[in-house]
Amino acid sequence: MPFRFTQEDALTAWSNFHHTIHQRPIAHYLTPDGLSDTASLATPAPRRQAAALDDILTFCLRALPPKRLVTVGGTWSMSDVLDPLEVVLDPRAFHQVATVEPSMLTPAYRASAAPRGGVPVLVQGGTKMRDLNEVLGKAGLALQTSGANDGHRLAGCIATGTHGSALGIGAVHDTVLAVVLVTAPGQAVLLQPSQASFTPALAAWVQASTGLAVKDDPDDVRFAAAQVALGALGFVHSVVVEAVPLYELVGTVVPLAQTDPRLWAVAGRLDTSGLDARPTPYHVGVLVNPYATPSRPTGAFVTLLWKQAPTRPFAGPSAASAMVATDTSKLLSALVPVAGTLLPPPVMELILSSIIDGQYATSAVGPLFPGQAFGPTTLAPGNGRSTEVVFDLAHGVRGLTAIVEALRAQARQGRYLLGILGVRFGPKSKALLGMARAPMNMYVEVPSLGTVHTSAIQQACWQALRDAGIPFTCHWGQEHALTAAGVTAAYGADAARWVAARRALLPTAAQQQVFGSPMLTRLGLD
Amino acid sequence: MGDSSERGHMRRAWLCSVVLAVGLGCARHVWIGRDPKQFIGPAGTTLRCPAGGGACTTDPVVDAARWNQSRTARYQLPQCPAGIEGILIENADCPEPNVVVQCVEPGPDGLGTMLADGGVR
Repeated sequence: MPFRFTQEDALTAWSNFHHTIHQRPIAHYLTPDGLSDTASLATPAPRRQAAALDDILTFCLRALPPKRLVTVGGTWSMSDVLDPLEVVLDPRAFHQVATVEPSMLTPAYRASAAPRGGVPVLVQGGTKMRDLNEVLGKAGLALQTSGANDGHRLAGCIATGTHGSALGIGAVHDTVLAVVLVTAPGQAVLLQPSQASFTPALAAWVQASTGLAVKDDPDDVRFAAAQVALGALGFVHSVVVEAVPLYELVGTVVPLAQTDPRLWAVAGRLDTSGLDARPTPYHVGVLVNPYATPSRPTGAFVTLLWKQAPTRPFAGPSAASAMVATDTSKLLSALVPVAGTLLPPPVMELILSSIIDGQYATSAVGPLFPGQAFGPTTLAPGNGRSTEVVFDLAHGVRGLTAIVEALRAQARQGRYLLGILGVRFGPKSKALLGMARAPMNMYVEVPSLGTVHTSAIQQACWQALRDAGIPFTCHWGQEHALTAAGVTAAYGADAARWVAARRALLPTAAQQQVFGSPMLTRLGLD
Repeated sequence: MGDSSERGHMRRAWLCSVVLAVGLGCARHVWIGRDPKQFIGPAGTTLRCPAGGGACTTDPVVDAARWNQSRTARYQLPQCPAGIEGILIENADCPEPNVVVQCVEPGPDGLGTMLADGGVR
């Protein structure tokens, strides 16, 4: 069927960034508003996009059985949250960014946002974070937080719970004020909390722009469901994020031995006073080398960043290239398991530690604009693996120790992580499926170049936490240990509320199938 | 000693010439250009781009004939409204290598302002 205003391609081999989904054929790869024909330009872009969505959703819903529709983002996710079948929607043309007209703000929001200088910005879901940083920066604004890198599209970024390590902010989705979901042909809903930030005029404006019937829906549960939606509540047309006045980040990276109590003061209770006398930083992150000997002075690197007013004109991030070629990284991935069986652990660990030391050094950081601090990735595409566990900071020291010990035990069997642990922190999320469940949380990311041992290493980390009796959740966009029982245990009634919200937003079985996924079914979330 | 060194130098130069000549004999070229039907202006400056990714500089050679050599595989560039991100020539030593072009993804126009009746200025 022809799709209006849509570029349609049949792909023979589609792979995600890290190749955890590899060379998948896609019969209908659909890019709304992806045509460059001048005839299309007579229709305004929002109308073109809405017409394209109408046709795509009609096509999927009317098929027998209904066809699953996957909207891709930056394609960085490693889990099967994005697991395409035959219909894929590429939202790259959904990239408009506009400040919300002040008359559409409620008095309550204006009063609450004033102290932090909050500025609501309506951003279409296909906007790349790098573009968003650029547009906001040029207007003297910035996001309050982001992921570690900027290649995501906004809708995918929030759908998987992507976060940074801004201690007072939380994840990106915790800075979202409203979400516009297209749930059926011609139908959309603007979700926001019951303590609404926007008058119905905002929904009316979206309706006037797009021609979609947009329902203003101030509802706490449905909004909290949409904050981390796993791509399963509808097509994310736009998101209103709260930007703040542009700022710079400035601070230091401090190397520490793993025996240094100052490291554990940070990891256990976010006490940075032993490293810097300034009050609590805006951002705290720790990198831990699991193979450093206890006395190695570079067993960990603590990054402390503070906010300050801009000292220079806005600038975007520098260009970045992958640190190594993908085929070189795959060669390393093949060689290291062999070397791990031939070389004694102390030699392997010395080699790996030397490589890590070469990449991280003590230094003053900044001043950097947020988009520079968290800019383009240098990871080689096509060979990445990662899992991330999240648990109560009250278990921080025990949890991190358990993971490091698990990695060392794996190393003694010749299984090495080709990466360094990334430790970040954040407060409880407001989202029903937000990974951060405790008042303050520790995120431990376990990234690696892929090897034949990576899965076993990941499983050892998860098992170490279970053995230590530490409840944990996992990053939705990374490889994870989640099961239906585990989701129920971790999220409790919030998981049931999320399912109920999904059924309210997508009342028919066909809608639920179109926006469904094997992961949802496996985890009891469909 | 000096004589021997000179002979050695000449021998190396001769060998290089042979290698170069053989190389030239096998040379294949790849031309990638715009659709000739889509005239957007006359040909302008010619730049030469070094391997390794350094900045391209003005090519000191001006020779219209270079664009019209035999043994040249010819490819037509796509229309990329926002420009070209990069061009990959796969298996460049093959007679007809694959050319893969990545367009720049158009981004937002800037931070817009909502208009009362819908749309953005």
